Formats: sequence, structure tokens, C-alpha cells
Amino acid sequence: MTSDVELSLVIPIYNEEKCIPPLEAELIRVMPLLPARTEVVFVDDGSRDGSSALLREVVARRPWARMVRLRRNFGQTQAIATGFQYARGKTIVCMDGDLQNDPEDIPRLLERMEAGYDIVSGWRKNRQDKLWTRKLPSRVANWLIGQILGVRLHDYGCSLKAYDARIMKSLRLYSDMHRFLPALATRCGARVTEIPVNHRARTLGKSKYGLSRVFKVAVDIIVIKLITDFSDRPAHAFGRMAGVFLFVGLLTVPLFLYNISQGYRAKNIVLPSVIFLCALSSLYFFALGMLGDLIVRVRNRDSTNYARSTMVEA
Amino acid sequence: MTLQTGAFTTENDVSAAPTNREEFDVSVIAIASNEHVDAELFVSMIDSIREVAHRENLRTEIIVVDDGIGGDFWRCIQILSQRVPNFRALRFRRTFGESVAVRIAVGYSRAPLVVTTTWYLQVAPDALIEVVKTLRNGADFVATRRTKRVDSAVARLQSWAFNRVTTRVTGVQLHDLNCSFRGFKRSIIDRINFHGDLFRFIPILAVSQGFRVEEVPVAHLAERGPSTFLNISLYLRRFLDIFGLFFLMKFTKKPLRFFGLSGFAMFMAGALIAAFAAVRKIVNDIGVLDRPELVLALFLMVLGPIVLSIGLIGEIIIFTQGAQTSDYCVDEVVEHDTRTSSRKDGEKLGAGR
Repeated sequence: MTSDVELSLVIPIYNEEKCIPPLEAELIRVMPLLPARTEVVFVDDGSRDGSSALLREVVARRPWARMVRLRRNFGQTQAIATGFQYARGKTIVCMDGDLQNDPEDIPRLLERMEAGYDIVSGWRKNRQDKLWTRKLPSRVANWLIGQILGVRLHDYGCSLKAYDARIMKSLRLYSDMHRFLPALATRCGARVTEIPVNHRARTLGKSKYGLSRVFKVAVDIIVIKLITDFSDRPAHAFGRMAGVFLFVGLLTVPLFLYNISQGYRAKNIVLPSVIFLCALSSLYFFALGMLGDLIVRVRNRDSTNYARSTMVEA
Repeated sequence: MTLQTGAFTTENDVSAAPTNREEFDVSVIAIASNEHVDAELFVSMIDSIREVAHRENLRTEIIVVDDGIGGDFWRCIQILSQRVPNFRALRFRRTFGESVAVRIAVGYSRAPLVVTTTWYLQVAPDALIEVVKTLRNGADFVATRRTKRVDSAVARLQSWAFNRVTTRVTGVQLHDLNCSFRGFKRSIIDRINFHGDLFRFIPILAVSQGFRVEEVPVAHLAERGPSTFLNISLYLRRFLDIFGLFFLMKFTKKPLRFFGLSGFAMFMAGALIAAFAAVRKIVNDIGVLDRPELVLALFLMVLGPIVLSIGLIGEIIIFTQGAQTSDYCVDEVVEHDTRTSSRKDGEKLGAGR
């Protein structure tokens, strides 16, 4: 099993010792339906229960299994990013280790990939979670992500997704970006689609997320939006901000002149300060834009974005 | 690292070094920075370390870093190198500081375990045994805590306050970051990103990378560094160090959270003040332009985007430049075909990619 792996399943595991034996059984059941050269990369995200030992046994038993263990709990994004890095397959399918995703759906995801898509996302149409704490916030979040980032999917939160490995390896994931992978990938020209998948209620183990996530996701969306907008062409984006301030400053000038003509002496201090402030900030943002361009250009010089270049060929 | 080319010279030719790293049990790295170095104390430190190592049957090599002192001290080192076996010394052309010294000295070390020390006997040499034992029991990094302190009450108070604040800010329970006597596995040092004054925080950075850090008590013997008594600029530096560390640990991966939220708060405060002024103008007809509120509101509303945009620049740097996504956090890779679990230490790293 070397570099000609067809499919890599990446499964992050964090304190899921109860789920691992049934997960292994399900994987064995689905293996015949998958390409011959399939590997499963378990990423143990610093589990503190028996998960590591169980996974080690799985790896010893099954030739298709591999495991990467993180030194401590780094969070789902880092776990997935590590899984992507170690995956050797041409296609990567990511799924949860908590049995809520059904591996039987994987062949259907792969079918869509064959049809020419770069990312196929699962959509938990009949989601088996609590309405108020899980389903409703998720629906709002998906709508928001679709509106703001422009890629409309019913279910960004669904972990079961198939990716073209080349695109995933060209993306750099950090912080909490895994949720927005499809939106990030479309920036590199990826074609995204979704299919309904099976979803089962959690029967074993504990959920790692709660309602507190809502605020974090909201901030994340804004952050991702800003980063993607600004890192594409920083000079333009910052230039727009500079333009806003310049506009406000210029608008104030006639008001100031009018005030002078009317002889309002005291008010003459406020308006000039507005003008100066706006002019200075405008300069500041312009300079930041230059700086941003510099940063992005340094990067592009030594590593061109892989996905983009392949899209040009196609 | 650019410093490595020609920034220092070495005593005892390196090319003669055996390539087998397992020849030694522990490398002791002694760093002498640009301060009043006493040759006699230095020699006695080297001798007592060797004595302890000999007693405990630890195959020890000693690496001395002359951090820009030169002169008589370097001559003393040259004489020492004639009589002390397994002795190496590096001389920097100028003072580069402890962080650089440790990094480069570790590059020259040939043992799997490394212990760093000051140029004089800061703590009882038996600490070496304790540190090595703890490392062999599975710790990745061993910090020490000086007990029965011999320095002045003021120095202890300063030290206590510094460690308290650092513990509070970082949440890592360590009691004596200023003690330079430390031990670690040679392979972990590449996984920890430290530079400049972050040297004293290495144990904390190690914890944040998921390494196992332990603290052992050691007997305090002497304190000879530059006086830190009521040194205002030093206090300021330490404060900035701690703040920098806090930022490094919390927001390195998400600078926009920090700057964005504070910038947004400023902008909203400005907008509120402006709205307040507008309401007063409409309802009570109190003038807007001749009162200071509007200027304050404007300042805040401008400052908000400025702060936010600094976070954006930081985020762009990480988004576009952050090449090493996850290398540092991988502990081990388990494969089926070999059935060996390779701990991700040192040389094995390249294999997985």
C-alpha cells in the first residue's frame, strides 16, 4: 500500500472508545463496496480514554487501517488537517467517529465524485438530533454561511464529505475552519454538490458540542468572510476601506466651508478634525493594503495555488 | 537559521565527532552570557557536573556556549578542553542570547537527553540525577524549582510575583521559570517555537504543544546573574514578555478574534456615543458640533476599523504563510505493515509526509 491509494477515509476520534468496535464492524461491512485500494486514517485527537489502545489494535488487525495520534487535544480542524496531510488517496472522505454517519453512504458520495465534482457534501436530511439545541441553530448557521460565503449547502455541519485530495492538500486549515471547507475550496475553483445521507441518533458516547457553539460559528463566518475577501487582493479590499474614509472626509469639506461662511467659530474645530482624521485613516488603510499585497505576493512566489493551476488546465 | 553561518567558532573540531548519537546519555549545555564570568566558578561547575555524572555512570558530554564573551574566558575554555574529555565549546561572535545559544548547542549535542545550566553552580549538581531520572520516566521536559533559596528576600519576592502572574495568565502551573537548570529530550526542541526572551517560557510553550512537562525541586546554591533589584526597564520587559506569551498562546492561530472583537467593541462604543449625541440634538436640541462627544465618537469609530485591520493583516499572514499546518502536533503514526509504532521524534518525521 504505497502511493497508489484510491480512497482515504479520514476519521477523527476523540474519546470514542465505545464507538470504535462498532465502527470497525461497519467499516468491514462497507469495504467490499469501496475501491480496492482504500485506507482508513484514524486521527486520535489526544483521547484520554481507551481510544488510542483500541485504535492500535484495529491497526494491527486490519491492513487498511492507519492511525495518527496527536500529542494533545488540538480540536477537530487540526485533526482533520492532519488526516488530510497523512492521507495518501486521490479522494478523501471525511466522517465522524461517533457512528452518526453511515459508511454505507460513501459509495454514493464517490459516484458523485466520478461525475466530476470536487467536493460532495453529505446532507443529513432526516437529522436525528434535538430540535432546539442542534437542528435549529444549524439551519440558521447554514443559511448564514450560504448568504455570506456564497456557497449554498443545506448542511455545512455534516462531517461526511468527499473531497478531491489535491484541493484539500493545497488548503491550509487552522483555527475552526473545517466547517467552511466547501466554501473555501470553491475559491480555488472547486465544484461542490451535496446528496442526502443517512443520519443516526447518537447511542454511544457523549456529544462534544453544545449550544455555546452558535456564537463561535457566527464569529467564524465573519472571520472567514473577511480573510477570504482580504487575502485574495488585499490592496483592493483595504483600498475600499480607504475609499470610504476618503469619501466621508471629502463630504465634510463643503460643510466646513459652509460653516466658515456663516461665521460659526467654535464649530470650526470639530469639522477640520473630522477631515484630518478621515484623511489620515484613508492613508493608513491604503498603506495596510500595500502591506497585505506584499505578504500575499511573497507567498505566491514560492508556492502557487495548486487547485487554481489545475482548473486552468481543465 | 542565518546565524549559523560564520556567527561562531568551535573548539574541538566538530568533523571529528562520531555520528552515532547514542554514544552519550546526556549532553550538558552550559551557557555563559555577556556578564561577569568568574573562571574559577566556571571550572568548578564543570568539575562537579562531571563528578556527579561519573558517580552515576552517566555518559556525559559537556557543551559550553560562550555567548559573546571571548577573551580570558575563551582562553580558560581552551585550557579546559585540553584536560576534559567529551568537551565542546562554541563561541559566538557577539551576544545572541540564551534562545539562540540553546538551539545551536542542541544542534551540536550527541545525546538523546539535554540538560541546560548556567555557567556557575546555580543549583546543587545532584539535580542532574533528578532531572535525568524524571526524563527517563517519560517526561519530555523537566523544569526545576529552586528550594531553600539563597538570594535576597526582594529577589525572591520579584521572582514569586513574576511566576504568579505568569501562572495566572497562561494557566500552566510552574513555580520557578527563572531557574536555568532544565532538562529535555533533544528531539522536542525543534517542535517548540521560541526566540529571544521567550527562553524562560520554554516549559510553558512545551505544555501548550502537548508535551509532558514536570517540575522537580532542586537545592539552590548561588545566584550570580546581573542584579535585577528594582530595575524598572526589566519589569517593563517582563511585563511585555508575559503579554506576548499570552497572545502567542491564545491568538497565534486566530489574531482576528482578538483584534476584531476589540476593534468591533471600540466601533460600537463610538457609534453609541454618536447616537446618543444625535438623540440629544433631536430631542433637546443640544448642539452636536460644539461638544466633545462627537470627536470622541469619531475617534472610536475610526480606531475600531484600524485595530480590526491589524488583526486582518495578522490573519492574512497566517492564512497565506502558515505552511506547517500540523507537523508539530503529531505524536505518533501507527501503520499496519510494519506494526511498529514510531514516535514522531526527530528523523522519523519526514517519512509520514
